[in-house]
Amino acid sequence: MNPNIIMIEDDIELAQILTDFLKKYNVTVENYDDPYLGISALSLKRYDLLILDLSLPGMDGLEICKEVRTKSDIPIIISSARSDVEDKIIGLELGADDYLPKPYEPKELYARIMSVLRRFKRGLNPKEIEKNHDLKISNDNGFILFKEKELSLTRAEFEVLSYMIKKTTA
Amino acid sequence: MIPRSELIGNAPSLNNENDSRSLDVLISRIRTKLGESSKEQRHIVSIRGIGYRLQP
Repeated sequence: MNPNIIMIEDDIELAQILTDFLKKYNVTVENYDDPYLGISALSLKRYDLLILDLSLPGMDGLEICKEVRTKSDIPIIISSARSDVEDKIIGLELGADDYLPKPYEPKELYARIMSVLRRFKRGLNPKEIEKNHDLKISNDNGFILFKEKELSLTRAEFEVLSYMIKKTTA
Repeated sequence: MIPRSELIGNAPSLNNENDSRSLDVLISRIRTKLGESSKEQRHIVSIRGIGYRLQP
């Protein structure tokens, strides 16, 4: 597994150090120092994990955490110099998976990333795995989705294909 | 893999016809709708003489 990670961190120097370090472990990092660009990248591309700083220009990291959680179940690790225990609690309550106080060794970040990803992978239930399929039956069994679009099928085609999907993904 | 007889048996619209060739025609039409063909089988794979396998 080569994790593909998005980081929202305005300290460009730190972001570069972490990116270079993680690259040695085959972890790809895409950093956004502007939180708004980070959020828009999250809605456009698929990432395995988000590393989030809390003190960012224009938008607080906790707000980002909350907003991301309303749309996605991507694992989130908060990485912050804010030592306030309230921030930590709120972050975890808002749906972050881990909280790493700065300063830390890049190696510890790597270990936390792998630990969170392992937990996340274990927690995936079959329904969530099914979401990765191109072919799915809609919740009300009324139609079949192909790459998230409704397929136009005759009655007989629907019967055959839905039976195949049920049988294969059960 | 799903045997042909099982597919026919579970599709009421086909049951009446009880015709194995109707199934092949249906599969071919579904493939077209999925943007594939019998030569380029991505989601529905034919197991010759036995049935079909779906790769959702």
